[in-house]
Amino acid sequence: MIAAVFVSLVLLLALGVPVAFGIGLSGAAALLVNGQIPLEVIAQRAFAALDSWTLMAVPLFILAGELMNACGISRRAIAIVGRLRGGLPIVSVTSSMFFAGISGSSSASTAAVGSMMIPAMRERGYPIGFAAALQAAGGAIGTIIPPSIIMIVMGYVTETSIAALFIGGILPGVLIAGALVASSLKQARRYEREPRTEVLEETSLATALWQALPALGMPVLVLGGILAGVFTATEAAGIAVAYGLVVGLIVYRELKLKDLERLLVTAALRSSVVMFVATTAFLLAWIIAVGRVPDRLGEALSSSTGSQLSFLLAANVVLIMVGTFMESISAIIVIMPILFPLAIQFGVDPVHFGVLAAVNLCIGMVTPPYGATLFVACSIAGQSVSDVAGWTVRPVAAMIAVQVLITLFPETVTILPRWFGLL
Amino acid sequence: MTPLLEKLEKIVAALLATIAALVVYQVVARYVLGRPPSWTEELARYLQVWLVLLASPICLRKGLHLAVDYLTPRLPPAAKRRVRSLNHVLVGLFGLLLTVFGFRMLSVAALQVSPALGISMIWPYLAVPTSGLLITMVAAGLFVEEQRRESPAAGATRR
Repeated sequence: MIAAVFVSLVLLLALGVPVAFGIGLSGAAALLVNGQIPLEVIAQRAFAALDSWTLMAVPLFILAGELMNACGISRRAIAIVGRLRGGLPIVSVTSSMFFAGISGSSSASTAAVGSMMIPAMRERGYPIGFAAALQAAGGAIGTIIPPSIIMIVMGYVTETSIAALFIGGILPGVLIAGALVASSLKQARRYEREPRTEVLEETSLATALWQALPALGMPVLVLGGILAGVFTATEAAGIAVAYGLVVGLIVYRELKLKDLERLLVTAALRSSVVMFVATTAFLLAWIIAVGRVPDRLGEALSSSTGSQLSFLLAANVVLIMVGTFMESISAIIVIMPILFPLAIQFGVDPVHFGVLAAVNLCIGMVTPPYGATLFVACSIAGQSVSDVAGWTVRPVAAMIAVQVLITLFPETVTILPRWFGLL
Repeated sequence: MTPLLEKLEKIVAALLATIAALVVYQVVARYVLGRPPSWTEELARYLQVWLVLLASPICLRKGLHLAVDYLTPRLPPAAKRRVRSLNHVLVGLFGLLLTVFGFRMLSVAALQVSPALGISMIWPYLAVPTSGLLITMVAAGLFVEEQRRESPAAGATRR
């Protein structure tokens, strides 16, 4: 049954069948091979996957992100950090980090910041491939910095506190941003010509900060509310929508009532793309569980590898490989039910493992051939994935350096949640 | 087909707005009115099921669903069209599975009543076969379009 799943899945995905449908069909194929499980399971799992209060944080954070994006958040973020010395790569990465704190989606973050920063970098003499690869990596940080859709799904699938995962992601996210900046400094010195041209708007730091203040209030409200135990992640997402509406309509006045329907449609479709994958990935995860794959794999692994560290290193390799070829939401739903119980067996902290897995998937978003943020950055840059592939080596190496650090030192993840009493 | 999907877009937008309003109302009710209503969470969950399942056929029509587009761009035009047609058939097949088995599931759902709202579970579960049917229709439409494109002249302009 399990063999039928994987053979048919690889075949269907190679044909270019949309991931959600490919997963669903391979699940159905497995049920047919098995012959004992009624096919109603397909419909039942689809319903059960979506009938979730936890998962509701996904459409709400997507909507909040759309609302804030309509207020020109990326422009305001760039206005704050645009004056930093050392060049545009720093602006690109830090603006992405700022944006990630408001939007839960790394593709949205890449698109919003990239559409300004990729052309800006090209104009200042950076090779277009360099700009696209760096922006893909910077945007991918949105996976780790809260609020993050990936972390919500991670908490949902592994039944780990989403608040702890959110807070645990802060330090790794900042570390990756730092590593990306460090990795690009040499090129910045080599390529960047005539700094301070009219590419970006110039305002004083005080003005830029003052103008960004209402936007900055969003992460403060969301994280503050979750940390203070005032609301759950889902409720925080709802509050973020209300806050985004007030800020957009009344404070910035850049949002018009007539835009709302278009924003709602965009957010609904974006949510559906993310969550429809969950309906079929849940079927596949269920079949894998019925096939006792986690147990069997656990027995094989615990007899061959002994220590916690060797397990984590093996898990890193598996996750990066999966993330390279698969879309990250379905990757979490399919792979985590297998890896997570093993991690617990090996005594790994659940929050440490969840964040580490997200970091690996974040790297997978940048690595060709299948990388969510890489696709977005390439389409903005007007380049093919294979043209940019070579340029991804440096940012990916920087991200892997941080991943190794996080693997070796669980404290990099757990220190903040522990500080706030979430662990 | 398209007028139907345009109406559907308005419906999913309204569903998302309602979900957001329900969640905000729940927080306000707990902190301001002192007691959270029991039905908001359940209603929001069922609306979410409808939201995602009704938006999915629109995403299919607009080509928004994620796919690994690695092999097909490298194929010669004739083979590309055949692979794309096959993809539409496969997607339609899954839509049909959702329709048939989602419909069969309704007989079980008819026996259940939701805990907080007290409505028949047919209403939330109905989203599955409805979505399946719409997906099948959209996939059939895409398949037919692909066949019409088959004429050499049209094929040449589409590279």
